[in-house]
Amino acid sequence: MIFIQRSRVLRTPFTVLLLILFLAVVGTLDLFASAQSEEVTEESFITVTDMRGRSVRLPQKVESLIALEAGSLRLVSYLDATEKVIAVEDAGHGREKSDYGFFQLATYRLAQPGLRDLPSIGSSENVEGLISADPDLIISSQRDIGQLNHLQETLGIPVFAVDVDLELYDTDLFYRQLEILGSILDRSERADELVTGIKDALEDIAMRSQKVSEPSRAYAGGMMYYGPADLLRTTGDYLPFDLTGTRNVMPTNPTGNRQPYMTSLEDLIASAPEAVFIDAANVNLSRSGFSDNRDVLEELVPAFSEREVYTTFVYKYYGTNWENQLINVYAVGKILYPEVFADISIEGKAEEIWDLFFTADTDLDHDTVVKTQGAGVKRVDWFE
Amino acid sequence: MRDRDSDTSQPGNPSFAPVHVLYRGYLQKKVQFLIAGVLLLILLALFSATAGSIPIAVSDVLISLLTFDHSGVGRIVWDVRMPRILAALLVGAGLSLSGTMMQSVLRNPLASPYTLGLSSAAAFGASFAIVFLDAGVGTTSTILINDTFTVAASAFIFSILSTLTILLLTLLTRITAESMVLAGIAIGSIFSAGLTLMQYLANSIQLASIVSWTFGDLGRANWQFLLITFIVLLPIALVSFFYRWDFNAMDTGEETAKGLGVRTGAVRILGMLSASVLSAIVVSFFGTIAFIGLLGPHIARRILGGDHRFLLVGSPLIGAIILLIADTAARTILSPMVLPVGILTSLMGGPLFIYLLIATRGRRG
Repeated sequence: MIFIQRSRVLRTPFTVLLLILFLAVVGTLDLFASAQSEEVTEESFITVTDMRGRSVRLPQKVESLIALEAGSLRLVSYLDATEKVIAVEDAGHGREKSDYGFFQLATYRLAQPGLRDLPSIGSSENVEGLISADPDLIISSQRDIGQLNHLQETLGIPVFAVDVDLELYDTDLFYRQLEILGSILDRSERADELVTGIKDALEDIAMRSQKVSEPSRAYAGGMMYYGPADLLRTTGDYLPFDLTGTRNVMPTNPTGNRQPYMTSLEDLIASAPEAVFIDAANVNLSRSGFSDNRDVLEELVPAFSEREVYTTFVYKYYGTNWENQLINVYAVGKILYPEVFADISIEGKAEEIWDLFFTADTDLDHDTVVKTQGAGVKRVDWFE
Repeated sequence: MRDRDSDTSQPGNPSFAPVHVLYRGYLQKKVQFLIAGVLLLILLALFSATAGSIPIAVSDVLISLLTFDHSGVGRIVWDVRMPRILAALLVGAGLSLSGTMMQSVLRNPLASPYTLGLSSAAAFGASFAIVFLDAGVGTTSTILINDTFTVAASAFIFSILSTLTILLLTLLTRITAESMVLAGIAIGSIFSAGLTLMQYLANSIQLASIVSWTFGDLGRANWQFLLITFIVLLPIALVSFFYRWDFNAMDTGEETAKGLGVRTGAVRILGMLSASVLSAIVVSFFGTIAFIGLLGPHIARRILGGDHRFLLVGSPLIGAIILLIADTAARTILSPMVLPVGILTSLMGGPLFIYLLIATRGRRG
């Protein structure tokens, strides 16, 4: 009945006029309102270019964030901004569906144990979870620009891409990344502190390595890369060798991507290294690889017959432990060129570098890290 | 084309020898081919023993091989190169022999450990061991495949289980050989789904272990693996050769074979069982190496014909030759990087198999 009455009213020209007037007023109000909100936008949003060259419009003050994919949360912890993190992924955060003991191989998790207590967000595929968590910003190490844009459009949350494939070879990009992250996370001072500290360390290493008169020939084994491997997963681009002027007996990856690769027992023998360094993450596997071919290796490879085989700090786990790799540079230097690195103690240097990367507040202790990550820098006890 | 020409011209030749002489010559040709194959295999093995990043003269390789000298150069030859070479020979021969037997008893040219779901079952078994039996993971440090034997045993058990299921279905329902192939495909897809589930349940490290297990790789060879493979291969090769006439009879059809006094049911079950045990052992130790079980038998059939007296020797021979070439390439082309040979056999085996199909079709039609 009411409906019929209303439709009758609508027929009168006066009512129609009134309606048009009403709509016009509401429309103007609406326009006015949106103009106002744009003004607000201009004030509190900034546009930055991320590490994949995308323009990302994000709040000037980022109060809450979620870091997705390998390595991105590590960068946030370097910048001492983990208090802004509101949730963490399952992958690599000790919350996988089955238990295992690799969690601590990423050093930032030892420095920031609180991360493990944060709520779980699953993964980047948990779109609804991410939307309801409603962070100001998402940081992702995803490489694919299309996927980054898609994620940003789906979530309606700015997605800032970081580049975690960088090594300390590309220092300019590495520093720039820290500085950009520092500026968007309100941690510019912290970023400067990090950049200066890393620069100082690299200069110190460069000065020392100039004094190396007889470079050693060495092999890096047990490299972590998309999963564990034994002695025979090697790399031709091993920062601790390159920065100390040590000759890497293995060439760069034949495919040109500078990543670790599997070599053969014969190639290891043919390369005849004087020293072998094994990543702590793969020490047990490497040991069993060694015992399978012990006779051959001891007879034919100088490093094994002279027992010049050492472990180093975990280099890669859920991305790159850049801080551990910098410590490894000192460690390799100290082992191969003791006279040039005479004033360095590996323990002291390790703690100093962890303090630099994770701030002195975290105060990571050398023995604790060695114990939880399985091995530190030392000669292996495989020959006993 | 040339084959057909010679086939048609020979009977028309008036000055041609009596049939039994012709037949003897026909057999001789095949025997000659087999001898040539063995010589080629020996030459290839020798070449492979000299190929590598450490230069060793052929004469030195020969001397250390013949004197069993394990010192100096002999260390490289015997302890570094020979395990891989022997693995290529045993695995190539094993997969190819197993493919030949399966194709014969199932009367289906597409039967192979790979197509019958046996490889999927093995991969499922391996992933099950890695995820649930803790075989791939140590709790104190990072381990890829901590316990190779547990993984191999689990892979073996599941692949045998898949074969037994197929056989049980055959016995219970008296289904035909053709249905046996279909059952194999169905069971294979069930295990593939199981493998996907395992991958989903795995953590990142276990996932990496599963993926690297499925790449067939002869680099896993050690003397224990080789000995076990040999102990399984030898009796099965002998038994299959003992049944060569039965296989020939079964090629002519079920009824004819029965008429000739072949207990087809028993031969089929025995053939399937031994072919499965053989390929299960190989796949469990070395992972999925695709296409050898199809390529070996098909090339052998093309050259030697369908006579199992020759096929059961020729097919493993050709399988061994193919895998030896593939593995020598896999460990040298990108040196010092090595590729898992399974990638190479799939990459080259596919096109080669398609060529064989087209070539065979061209000849027949």
